Amino acid sequence: MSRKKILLVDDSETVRMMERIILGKAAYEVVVAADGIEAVEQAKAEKPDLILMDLVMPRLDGFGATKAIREDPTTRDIPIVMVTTKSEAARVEEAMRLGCRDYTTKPIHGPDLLAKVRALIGE
Amino acid sequence: MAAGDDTGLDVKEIEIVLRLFMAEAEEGFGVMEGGLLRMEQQPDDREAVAQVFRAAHSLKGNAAAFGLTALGALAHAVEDVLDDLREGRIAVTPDRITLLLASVDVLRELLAAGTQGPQRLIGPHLELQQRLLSARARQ
Repeated sequence: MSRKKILLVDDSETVRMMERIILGKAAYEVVVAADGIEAVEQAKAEKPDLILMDLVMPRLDGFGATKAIREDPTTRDIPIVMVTTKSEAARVEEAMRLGCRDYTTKPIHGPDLLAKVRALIGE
Repeated sequence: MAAGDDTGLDVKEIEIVLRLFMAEAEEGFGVMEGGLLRMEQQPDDREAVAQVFRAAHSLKGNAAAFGLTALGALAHAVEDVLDDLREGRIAVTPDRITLLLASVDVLRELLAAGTQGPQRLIGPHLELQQRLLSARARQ
């Protein structure tokens, strides 16, 4: 059976590496994007099983990227989990309205992140 | 310096991520200084404000992951001022630029001190946080 593929979207290389290690150890295949524009391109090209989407990014933020991915029939069904800082909790509602399936907060908590990912796409 | 207990990373992995964080933070300080100097010359440069805001935002989030609470708290205070500037709630003024540049110097010191540094803002650092808070109160 092929491994499930996850697109990690974050402008911080530190966060991408942290998520990559956590998810890689759980045997997920990982692809990355460093801003919202790249996220939209990678979603189309890679057709991941799940997207972890940062909110504050250059060029196009997480809201803009989520909207674009939702509007494209080839990517609209990919589940998106918004990754926010605690101080952005008020913006979670907007993320869910745009079609995010769930959210998680930074700093990344490995077990929580894996639990959310597994709940959406399995092992 | 050690990562928070909840990352799910082992010691070797933490070392790898920590090296990245230190390099990224240093790069972020450069972005902040460059952006603030651009804002000083062109107060309506929206992209400069957004760039500095994003650098402070990343620093805040990553500092929390490594348990650097004082660094994270000061980065948060800087981010709040930048958010007000970004949203046009307050104006870009020479005083605010000077205060933000001074804050970058202190952020750099707190990063260099790592876990040997204070775990909460005290003394002059606390005073700086108060000044950042006051900078948001005036138009």
